[in-house]
Amino acid sequence: MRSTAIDRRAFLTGCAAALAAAAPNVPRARAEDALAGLAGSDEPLFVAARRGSDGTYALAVTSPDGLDVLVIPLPGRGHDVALCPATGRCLAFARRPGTFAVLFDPLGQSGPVTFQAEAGRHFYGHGAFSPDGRLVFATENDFVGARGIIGVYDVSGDVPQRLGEFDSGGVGPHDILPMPDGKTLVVANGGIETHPERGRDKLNLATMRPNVALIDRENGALLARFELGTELHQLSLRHMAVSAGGTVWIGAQHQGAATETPPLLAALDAEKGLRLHDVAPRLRGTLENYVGSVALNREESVVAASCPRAGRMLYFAAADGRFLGSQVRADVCGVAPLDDAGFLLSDGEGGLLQSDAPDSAPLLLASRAGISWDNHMIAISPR
Amino acid sequence: MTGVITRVRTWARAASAAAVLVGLASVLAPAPGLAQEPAIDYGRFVPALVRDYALPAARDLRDRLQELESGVARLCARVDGAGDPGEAATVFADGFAAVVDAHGWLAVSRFGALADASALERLAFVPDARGVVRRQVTRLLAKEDPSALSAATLKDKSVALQGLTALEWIAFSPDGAVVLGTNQPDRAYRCAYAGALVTGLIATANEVESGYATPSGQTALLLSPGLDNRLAATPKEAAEVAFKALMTGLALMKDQVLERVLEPGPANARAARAPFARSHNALRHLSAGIEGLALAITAAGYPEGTKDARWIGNSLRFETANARAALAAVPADLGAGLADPEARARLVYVNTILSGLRGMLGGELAGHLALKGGFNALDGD
Repeated sequence: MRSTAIDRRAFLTGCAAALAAAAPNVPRARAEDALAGLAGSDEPLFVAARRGSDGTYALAVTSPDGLDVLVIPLPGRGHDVALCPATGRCLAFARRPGTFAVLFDPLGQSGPVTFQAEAGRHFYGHGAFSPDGRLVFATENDFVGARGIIGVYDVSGDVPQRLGEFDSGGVGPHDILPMPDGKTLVVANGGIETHPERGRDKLNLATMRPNVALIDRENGALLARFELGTELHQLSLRHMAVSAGGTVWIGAQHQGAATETPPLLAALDAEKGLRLHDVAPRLRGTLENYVGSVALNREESVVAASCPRAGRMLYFAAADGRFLGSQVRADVCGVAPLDDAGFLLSDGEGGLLQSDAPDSAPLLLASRAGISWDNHMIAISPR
Repeated sequence: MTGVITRVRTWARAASAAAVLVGLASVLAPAPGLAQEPAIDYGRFVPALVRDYALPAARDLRDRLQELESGVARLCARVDGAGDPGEAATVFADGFAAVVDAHGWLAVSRFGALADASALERLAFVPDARGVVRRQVTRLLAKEDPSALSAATLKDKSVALQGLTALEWIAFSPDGAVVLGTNQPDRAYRCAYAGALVTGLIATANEVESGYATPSGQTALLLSPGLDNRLAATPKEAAEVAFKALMTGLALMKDQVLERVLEPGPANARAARAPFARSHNALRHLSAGIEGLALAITAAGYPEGTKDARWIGNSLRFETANARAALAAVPADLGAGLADPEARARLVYVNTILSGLRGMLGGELAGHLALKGGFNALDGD
């Protein structure tokens, strides 16, 4: 979350002016109207990749009610967006096996900068900033060497510079997040080997070994690696959320037989290691073995996990991993904190929904015809 | 009346086309066990949907908006809004109701030109669960912002300020009476804003009609699937995009309108959750959407796509006719309807029908046609 020291109304007014220069594809008056609606509340804006009605891809900064304030065209399908805690800038990555990334200011203070992955590498769709905002760590595939790596970029200048790389601690690294200590990165190594010449084919399902790795971001040293039992070697650990206390929540997809229905949410903390948390028995076998996104609400009491293939949202208690409830929503995937307790959800049919309680239907705030929101969404709050 | 005639003609055309296809199928069909069901011709659905549903629906909306434009002018032409607006108000209210009807009919389809450049949201900002239109219009009226008084500048403002829902907010009181043109302190501003709104809405309806008539944007992409097509590589993918859009329209009517107004609580407050409840046109809009859904599915020929799904066309017509008949028996004032146990039971019945339609269309019809695939359904991401 951004600084709280800035007067919200004045800040949003300033944003609208900046957006006018940075985003000619959203008229200034329209951005002003959208931002004016937020001035009396503490609600955040949301950033996500999406597909438009004409099949083109873009990044969008939008209000919870689906009013755009900034739209940045992308050269291909995007995936996740990382937020810099120091500068408020964002970095969006191409969906795997894409090779572009876009550094941008979601409030229009500067224009977007696009850069490419190194030759022989592609992005996996996720990245994380260093606490000071100078460095970015991106999950990448060394597809010749069939190894997961973390590319390190200096984004302090006008054009991001690749400084080097280190091992991700496994194969197929996907999500990467900073830990609260500011020094450690947590990486979900999904364990699935792919090669861009084989599209999205999975090349090692019989031998895959996913893990969650803790890495010292300053020297790339592998601090710890956590694996599930060998019987769960096909449970690919992929998407994460980290609490202020350092608990890592991990969503999984199962690559084994459809008749196998292992738990799809794991938690990792220093004391208890890696544990699995399951849904209610009546839901087992209905989730298509796939979690697409994980988020904590602002007060960190609830973990939300989306199952877009099954069209269902899952909620768990952050205190003990207890299953709280679920909601049905077709193609739901993006999830981000909306307020202290609730979440904003997004789906592939243009929907933005307010979810206030795990056991009640989410409220549709916007339904944008022709828009398909991509897997992930983040909240940015100038309050 | 033009719209009604158009609609009947469209319905007749779709029905006769279906009858011809059924007849042909019965003549040409081999004896059971001698041959397999022919492959589904996915390429037929979207062209028929555009030609026989979306285009006439867009023209209907534009025509009714043009009639409404004169209604606004007449209502606002009275000197200082003095006296009883009488007939002018009735003409405006009838014209607005006709536009709501046409909008409900078109909006359920949500694909093609409607999906381009936020056209659907510019026509009406729904579902608007948190009162964005109320907040933005109230702010606009307080400021008397001159940029909302011409269609040319209004189009750059929030989509919530451009649609029928904004027009409804300034033209009707909470109890459904026409207040536009009456002797309010900001009468002149409201009238000028209403004029800009209708002019802009006509332009948007023209834009949509043109997008279907001379295919451009998403319509063109769905009509020409191919490997270099960003949205639909195959006719099946094009048919899926359009079908999913229709299913989203159905889900909106059921989950975000009917279920929300049927939740426990004060009747008037619950009624206000439905689009166009303020002008007492909520049920008209819902009924038009249900009719539009059936017409669109039939016009596209989805149930005729495979022998096993043909019964769905008849069932769809039967069920939607039942739903519309039930809605017709509920008072136009939705708050009053919700407070009346008998009328409320009719709404519950309609909700049950929509549940069944969702299972029949999204489950059985989609299954027979093998239509699937969510945007976020690919694993590994």
